[in-house]
Amino acid sequence: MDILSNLFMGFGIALLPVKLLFCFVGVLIGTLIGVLPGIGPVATISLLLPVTFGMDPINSIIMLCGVYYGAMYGGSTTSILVNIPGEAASVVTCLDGYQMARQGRAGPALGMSAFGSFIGGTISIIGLMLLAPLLARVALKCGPPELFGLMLFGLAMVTYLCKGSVLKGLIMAVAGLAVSIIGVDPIYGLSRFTLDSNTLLDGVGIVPAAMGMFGIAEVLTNLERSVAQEVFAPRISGIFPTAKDWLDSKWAIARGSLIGFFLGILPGAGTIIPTFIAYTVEKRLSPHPERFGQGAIEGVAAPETANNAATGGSLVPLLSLGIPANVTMAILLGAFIIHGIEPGPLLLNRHPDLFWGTIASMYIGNGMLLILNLPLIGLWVKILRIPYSILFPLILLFCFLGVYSLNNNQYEILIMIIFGVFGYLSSKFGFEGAPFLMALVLGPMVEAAFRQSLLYGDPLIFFRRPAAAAILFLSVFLAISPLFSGIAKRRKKLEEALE
Amino acid sequence: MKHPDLLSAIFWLALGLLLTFWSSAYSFGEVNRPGPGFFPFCLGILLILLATLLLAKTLKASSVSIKSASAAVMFGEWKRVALIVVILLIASFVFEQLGYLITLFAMVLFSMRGGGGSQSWKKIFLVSALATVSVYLVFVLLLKQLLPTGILGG
Repeated sequence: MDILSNLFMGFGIALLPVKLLFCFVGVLIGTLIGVLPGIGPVATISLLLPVTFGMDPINSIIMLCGVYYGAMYGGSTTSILVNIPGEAASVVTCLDGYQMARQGRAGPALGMSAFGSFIGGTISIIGLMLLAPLLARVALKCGPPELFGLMLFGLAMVTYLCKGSVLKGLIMAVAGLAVSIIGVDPIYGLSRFTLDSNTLLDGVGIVPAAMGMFGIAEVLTNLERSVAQEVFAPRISGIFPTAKDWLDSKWAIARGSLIGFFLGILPGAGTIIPTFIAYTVEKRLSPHPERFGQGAIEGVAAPETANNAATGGSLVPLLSLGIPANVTMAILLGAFIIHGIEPGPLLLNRHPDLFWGTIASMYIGNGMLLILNLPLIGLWVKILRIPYSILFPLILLFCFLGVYSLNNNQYEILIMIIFGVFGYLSSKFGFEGAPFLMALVLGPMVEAAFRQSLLYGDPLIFFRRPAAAAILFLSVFLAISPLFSGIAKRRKKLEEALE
Repeated sequence: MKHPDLLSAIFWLALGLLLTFWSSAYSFGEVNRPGPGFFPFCLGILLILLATLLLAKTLKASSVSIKSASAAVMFGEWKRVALIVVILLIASFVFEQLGYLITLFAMVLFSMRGGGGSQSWKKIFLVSALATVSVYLVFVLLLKQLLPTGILGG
């Protein structure tokens, strides 16, 4: 078996002590920021990017992936114990998890979410391992028109699935593309929209923009709300779920894994939407739907399995097509580029060690998280007790330093602050940050694919190639569908059902 | 202002117009040989179209959504937010001149004070000092990042 021998090679790499250490550091940081409500994987991975500059590329990718799936583990802890989701992907877990904690069953809830996460995470890595090479082979046949179509499709999906008005999402996506043009023109080498600034010559960096919109803006929003969070520590006795809990949850975990993985592949679905869908599906299929919201263990198992399964799914398009499925993956794409590695169909051939090493490290990391999480819950609760007025200056400090150490350029700090204010104001006016940031990252690739396609000498090239035409049609349909009232109503209903 | 969307629609419209006109400074090329100004021009037009759509929708519905308007314009503790932004801006400008130790210490100190917490000065000093020392230990000693030493450095 080809896959088995490759996987053995991967484990040969991932089991080296250095790789184990980076994997451990990654999942530990991931769990920590998963627990802390004010800071998420996007800001953290951006923050760690400059640190990974001098590192071996495999080490850095292993660590950054660890942060991503580690955060999904950590998010559930706060949802269950204090009814505050540490990550957006753990919002649904609050519904039944917190109820369980109030009934004195915080232990089994935490235990089940850890086991569910482990199973979901592992199944999704198997899926990733089987699917990514297949997809990469197909992707090798894609030309610029197809790539252009695929990237637009990704953008359209992010826009379609983000909260609120699709029109506003589209505006943010176009604005993101516009900002991505700043810098040197990739084909003619001419500087565009730079206002003669040396900093802008390299374009607006992904890291300052992401830290601004997802780090600083988040802090500003929280400050304004001035939430006084109160943490009470429920007694946790016995984290192992009972046999009945397992019986109740086994199908929730199985379905959650599949829902999470396949939705995770779809660009734009991220890790949040799968949790809503997994929860809704369990509630629909359950013989006792009235138990949901009253502390049903399936209501914890399903979303927690799904968000971890989605992490493996969302790596599929990045590793096989080079197209990020969500904002976190977009930042990870930045990490690949920093190391001069182009993720995409050629990744498997050119850097098999990186691909299989990362996959193997994810198996190991999921195991580490399971072992790490159960005994450390007490520590996480203590960290939660840190008041926000102490926490936020430290988040600001890290963003500040992270952006500066990227290029030792103080003007990039200024760019981060500008994006922080922009992100704060735009969410205030109902504009989501995700389409903007996705567009900013994809922008240069979109433009290059667009112009290369036109060089074929036929402006209708996008419609002459059936694959490109189909996917472009789908993207345009997604983008304009809300304008038709029937579909808009159905979408609204779906949104309400999710809430 | 009837509706917050009106404000944002006008903002995006202005940005779209700016982008469209600015992109004419670069060669447009031909459709078969697109120049550097081609893609920005397309985006500018697209942004104008979308902003106009938002404007039209807003004007049509401006009377019904007073509730959403008040919700969106509620700026709550905006003074606190503005204070933090000002602190960050000042810190970014003096970072290289004053050096990282002084700047970061002051930044943490003032933002903790301005952030609405109820900590005593003693605690604030302690946390700021601890944070600055950890930056030195982790970023400078461990990760070997080059941070500006400013007036403290020789």
